[in-house]
Amino acid sequence: MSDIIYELKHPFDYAAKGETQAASFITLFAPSFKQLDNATPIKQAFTAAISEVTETLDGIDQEQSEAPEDINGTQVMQLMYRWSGDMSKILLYAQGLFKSGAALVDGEENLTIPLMEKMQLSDFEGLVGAYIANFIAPSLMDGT
Amino acid sequence: MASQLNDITILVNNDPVAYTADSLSWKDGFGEYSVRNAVVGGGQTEQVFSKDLSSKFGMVKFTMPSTVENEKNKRAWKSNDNNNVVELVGPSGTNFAKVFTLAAILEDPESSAATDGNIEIEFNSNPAT
Repeated sequence: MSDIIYELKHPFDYAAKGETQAASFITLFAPSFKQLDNATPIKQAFTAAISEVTETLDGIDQEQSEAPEDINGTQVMQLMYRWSGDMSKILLYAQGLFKSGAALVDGEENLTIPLMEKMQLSDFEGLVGAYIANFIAPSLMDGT
Repeated sequence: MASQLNDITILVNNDPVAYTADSLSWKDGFGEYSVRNAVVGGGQTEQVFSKDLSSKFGMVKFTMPSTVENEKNKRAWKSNDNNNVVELVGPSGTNFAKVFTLAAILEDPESSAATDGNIEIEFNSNPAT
């Protein structure tokens, strides 16, 4: 899978073809090598979050202390927010990743920082969760 | 206490612009108004007010340092015809925002290669919203 679509819960206005219009979805693309400076810390944090959270749970099987194969964006963010690391830094890495071309508004316009600042935090978190669930977590399973 | 508006963010096509301090100005695009007197007799007149609808254009003008990136921006905006959108956003808490749609650079923008050289940009657009 090289791209996915994230439907916005709270549309925001953006400029396109000389007019403003409400964004309805964001297209996310798998990270490329040139984006490793932002993608790698997110991957590290996700891996650390899995290890840390499962260590604190009693009676969990060793097999379950790895990233589950089928996890959605909401579950990812629930997991990440239980991690002891600084989530605000991870969101900033995600911001850098998205502005570098990993995200397009309505599949057309670059998701620039001013546009991210127009997004509601819940939508941004949903975007990060969807990104990790679809591109980061699978790469920990089979390396794709 | 009132604060002077001198720290405004300019976005052109969703991207922030690094511009020269104190160089930004704009017109909302109300257009020109005129009044004249009609004679009603007995030395009396009646005011006739009219709006020049043909002058209802928004305008955003600023200068930006002559850098490689700004030169690229200038060329991109000019060649984008009237498909640009310019947004002015005030500092957080001011609730100041203006949007100029269908913005075009009508003149050929002048760039200066001096040490403190600038590029002069003037967009004409739909009235601000």
